[in-house]
Amino acid sequence: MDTEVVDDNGTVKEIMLNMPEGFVCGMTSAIPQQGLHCSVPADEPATPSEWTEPAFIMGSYGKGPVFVEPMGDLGFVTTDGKEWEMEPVYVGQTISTLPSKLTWSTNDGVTTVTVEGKANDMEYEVEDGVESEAEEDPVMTESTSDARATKVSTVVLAGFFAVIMVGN
Amino acid sequence: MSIIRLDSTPLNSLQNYTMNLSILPLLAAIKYSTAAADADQITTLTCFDQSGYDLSESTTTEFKDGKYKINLSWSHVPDIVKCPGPPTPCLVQFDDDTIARSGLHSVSIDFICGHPGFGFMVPHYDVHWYLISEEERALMTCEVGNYGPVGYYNFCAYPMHILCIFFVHISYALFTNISLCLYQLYSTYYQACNVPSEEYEQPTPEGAVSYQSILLYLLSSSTHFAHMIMICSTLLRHSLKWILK
Repeated sequence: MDTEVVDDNGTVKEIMLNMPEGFVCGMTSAIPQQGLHCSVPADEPATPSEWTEPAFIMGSYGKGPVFVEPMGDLGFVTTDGKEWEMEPVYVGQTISTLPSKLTWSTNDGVTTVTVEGKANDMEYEVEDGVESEAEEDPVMTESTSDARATKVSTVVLAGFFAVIMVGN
Repeated sequence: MSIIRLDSTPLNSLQNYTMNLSILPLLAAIKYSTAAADADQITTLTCFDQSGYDLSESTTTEFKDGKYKINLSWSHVPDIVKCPGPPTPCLVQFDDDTIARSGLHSVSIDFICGHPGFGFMVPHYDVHWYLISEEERALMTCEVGNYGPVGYYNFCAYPMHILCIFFVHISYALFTNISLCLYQLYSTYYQACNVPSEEYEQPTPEGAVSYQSILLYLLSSSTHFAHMIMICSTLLRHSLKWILK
């Protein structure tokens, strides 16, 4: 399952599985060869001047994660002594090897980005070049889709009125 | 022995942000050496672009105590990576053993002049650790639903994304007087959308950019007017917030 809708005190809540809590995928974020870009919107810097630490993004396509991505502004590659790390916890994790720790540091003019995670030694076996264990193929719930569609319609309508008002 | 290779050809993933890789003959070379420490596997590589820019000084892959750890290092060279200017892509594809044990297929260092959201509209580095293969990424299609639930933008709505980027960049430049990265972004997104080159005016470094042709194309070809309205409202919201701050 890629997403899950739960009833939290009467509130419909969407959860992106295999992504940290609070992650949502930007509706205009689809990039060819990469997929949607997902993050916690509230964690994004409102302006470039407020971007002081690397941001953590994940990609999604085909209802599954595509990439994990730390993004760092130039200050984090040009200033010695910069250190950043995070240990993401994934909701409903079905992919055991997802990076459990990411670091970003710059020293002596060299920037180093590191990912760490659980190795697949125990779960991975090769028989004639074929993996014996496949990851679960996530499926999108219909209710999630409906909830998303409703949300989109609302935003579109609000946007329409906003444009008209500004135009006047 | 571990084998890690660096693509020397234009990379699909980087074409998203690259204006025209054909004019950027990125000739990457790679040298790698391996060293064994106990039972651990350590691979070191260094890759260069045509200018001799040492993009990845030392990358190591290590397995120990049931865990993997991959380090990727590079040095920022302002004279080479600048805006507007060519990107400095570097894709490191991992060997089969690393893929099997870490689930990571490749890592890409992407220098880019800026992209949505608004806070990321400055030159920076994106470091993509890919969980799927280059082949799988190349097979991504624009079919509705592939990117997520119904209602999400899909590949086919991408021109709307471009429009947003242009507007935001223009707004940002007007108010901050910073240099734009339109030279890089302009045709990049058209290429990503597979828009025929004759459909739009080719950009030039001198900035002979016709916004009118872009907008006319988007307006005439798009069937996603509702999406456009939403993007415009998003733009206005961001702009107003920024102005009022």
